[in-house]
Amino acid sequence: MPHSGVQLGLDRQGGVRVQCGSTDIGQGSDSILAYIVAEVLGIDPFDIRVLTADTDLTPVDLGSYSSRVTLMTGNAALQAAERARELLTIAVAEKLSVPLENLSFAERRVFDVENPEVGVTFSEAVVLAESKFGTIGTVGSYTPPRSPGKFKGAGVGPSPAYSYSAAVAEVDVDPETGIVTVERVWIGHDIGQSINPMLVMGQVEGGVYMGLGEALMEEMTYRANRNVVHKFPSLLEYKSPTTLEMCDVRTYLIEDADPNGPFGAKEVGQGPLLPVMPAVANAVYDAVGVRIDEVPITPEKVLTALRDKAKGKEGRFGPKSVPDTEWPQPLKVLTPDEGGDGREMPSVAVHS
Amino acid sequence: MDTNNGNKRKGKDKPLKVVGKPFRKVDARSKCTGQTRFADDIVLPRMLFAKLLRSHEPHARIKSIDTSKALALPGVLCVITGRDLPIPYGILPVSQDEHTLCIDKVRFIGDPVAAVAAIDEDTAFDAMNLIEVEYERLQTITNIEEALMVEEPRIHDYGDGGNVHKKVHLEFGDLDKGFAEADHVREDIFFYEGNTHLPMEQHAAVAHFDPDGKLTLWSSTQTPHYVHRALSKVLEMPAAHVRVIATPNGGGFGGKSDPFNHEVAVCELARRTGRPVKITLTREEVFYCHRGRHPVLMRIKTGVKKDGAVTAMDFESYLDGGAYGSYGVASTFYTGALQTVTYEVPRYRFRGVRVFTNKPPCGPKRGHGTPQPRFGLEIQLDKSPQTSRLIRQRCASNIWSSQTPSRPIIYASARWVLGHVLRKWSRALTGKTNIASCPLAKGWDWRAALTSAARGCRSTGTTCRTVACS
Repeated sequence: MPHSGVQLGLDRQGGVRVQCGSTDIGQGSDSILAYIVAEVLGIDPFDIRVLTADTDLTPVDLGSYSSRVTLMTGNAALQAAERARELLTIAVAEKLSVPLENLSFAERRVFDVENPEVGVTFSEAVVLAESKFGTIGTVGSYTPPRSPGKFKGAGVGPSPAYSYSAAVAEVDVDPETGIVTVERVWIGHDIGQSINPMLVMGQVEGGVYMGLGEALMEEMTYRANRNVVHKFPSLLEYKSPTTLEMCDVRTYLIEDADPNGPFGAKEVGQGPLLPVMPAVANAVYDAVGVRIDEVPITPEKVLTALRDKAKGKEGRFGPKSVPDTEWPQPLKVLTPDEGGDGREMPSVAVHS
Repeated sequence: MDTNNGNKRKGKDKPLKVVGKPFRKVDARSKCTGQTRFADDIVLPRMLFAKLLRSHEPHARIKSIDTSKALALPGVLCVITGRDLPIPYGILPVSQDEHTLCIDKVRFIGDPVAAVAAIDEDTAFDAMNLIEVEYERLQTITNIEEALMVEEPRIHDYGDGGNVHKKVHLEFGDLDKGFAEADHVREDIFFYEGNTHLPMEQHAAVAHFDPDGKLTLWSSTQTPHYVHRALSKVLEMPAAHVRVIATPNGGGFGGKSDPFNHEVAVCELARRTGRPVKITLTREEVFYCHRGRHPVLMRIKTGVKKDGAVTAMDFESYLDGGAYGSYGVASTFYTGALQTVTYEVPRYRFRGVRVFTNKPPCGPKRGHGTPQPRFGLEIQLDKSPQTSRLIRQRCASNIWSSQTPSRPIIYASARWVLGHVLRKWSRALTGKTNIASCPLAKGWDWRAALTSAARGCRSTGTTCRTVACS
């Protein structure tokens, strides 16, 4: 079953309507749809009307989560646009009497690459196609490949492409107060191909911002009694970084087109958040020699660890044990090295 | 950019005119000029306002609810309680454990028990305070340890026993053999506290029934098609009679990915009153809706060879799920799923458990289940002298050489990204443009070398830098 679908409608006056179930949550997914369709059809992104996230008007999309939108709806949009281009190509080639493969789409025109002056405008191309085929509408959809794992749980997070991020955090720690100040974060993100580098950088830097909050300040905590009352359900007291706490960020986009992404694009929604918290924690150790093995790394925790260290103790703040737990029988899967094919092994009696 | 392998690109092989260029967003102008209409900006003729009465008990049986005083208040048109909407829902098919309004018991402070529709927000608020609920308190389950220990009372009557929602145990390869091959074995315990999404826009929704009985819901959601499915189920309406429109979204980060109580409640209130109904949650209520980062306790045991290669990893996670299932089963799997993607881990065991507690339900927040183990794993690798020095050194030195190591300790893409950042960073600090000559690749003690380089440009001795990758 497709995880994303796109329907494309072409207007005789040259406009294009993209209908898609994905939701723009500020990350710019509506824009991504417009850029991809514009690229394929050789028109301006602002010639495109994007209509999204309406269950009456748009095909099913699983939603905007899991960093899935650019890859999945992008591929669906690419397929729909390529199908539309094919119809237009056939109609225009017939009209101009040029071979199909000679036609190119750019600058709102469809033209012969060998004689660029021989061509029609994009809206004329739509009229030709509509005269030939009837109303022009195409669809595209995307279904991720099946996970090579066939065991229970292998279906979590089906994606043909994963991105990587790396970060360096420059941190000042005041041993008197325990206050950790992040001066600068250097971060690289493996985007495949950015559809719009400005939006990608925005996501990377937003990820750093959120990561600093998680590393140093944010926590859902409850009063230490049996009532489980949230301590501070308000923007005033739930501490999150402001512009004053936000550090300088050096962002590097690493582009190596992925064969599975639309134009080689991968994800940027979630990855750049991940290296920030451990980088800050490791930097705190590098600075003052204490390990804070839990977030948020608050001044109290740093001071406690520093005092312990001064007394000759370990210099670590963090949990010391995990609860005793009875685990179910393991679901065993052989690794590829051991000749595994992704299936779980038949369960056998296990001696305990 | 550094490289651009155009041959691999999916799409037309021609110079790109739009892709890769910093065009403005298609909705940039309306956003920048404050003219975007969010869910709370929607106003319909004859529209009513709704409020949810939320439980102030963390875990209690509902003995009785008296709505008569609220209904008698002038301006109040409708009050509904749990029994009016008995069908459960939930984002995952395996955990359909939520009701629009609690029927028999409440599971956390903030769990909704009644909904009011009135001519304005103030009246709805006053009416909400006139609803009388009698509770019988139950023992509260406040944290992971308690949830594993206390079998009764159960917060939910499904799951893997007691207050355990889900237990997972996966094993890939012969772990004992892996640890036996290791030169060093290290075990660490980490805790990642839960946190919330904090979107700028609070959740809001408007429901409208047209005279032919068709429903439209405008909502600030990330998953309109899932909300559509839940509404059709709970309201017992054909899917074709339900339309969900996701309004421009003022930030979600995963927090608007579940079907929510207030979304169903306004639909039912609109159906009963025949008028459009709007609800906008307060900031406090957004904290109770939550579905944010799970607090996770982790135990990680890793065996490494002298050259830094990992021989085996044993990973355990304990997730505090809060009061409902939400995406929790997926979150549990996610805590174990991505350890083997960055570094080569030839043998791996994952055991995870998610428990129910009497707190706002946790769910997906940006990174969904993966920042917690990444935090633990990267610190552990930093703690181990074998891994911290050798993984990074190898990755730094291999990036620009064509020589491939016999065994990738860290996968190529990750190594490449990490190397790129390290190169930029060391260039800024040392002025060296060639990483081969920078202390990172040359000396054994790259950290000391870089820290001393850093001291040259900073006055404070406590300034330090470190790296982590994911």
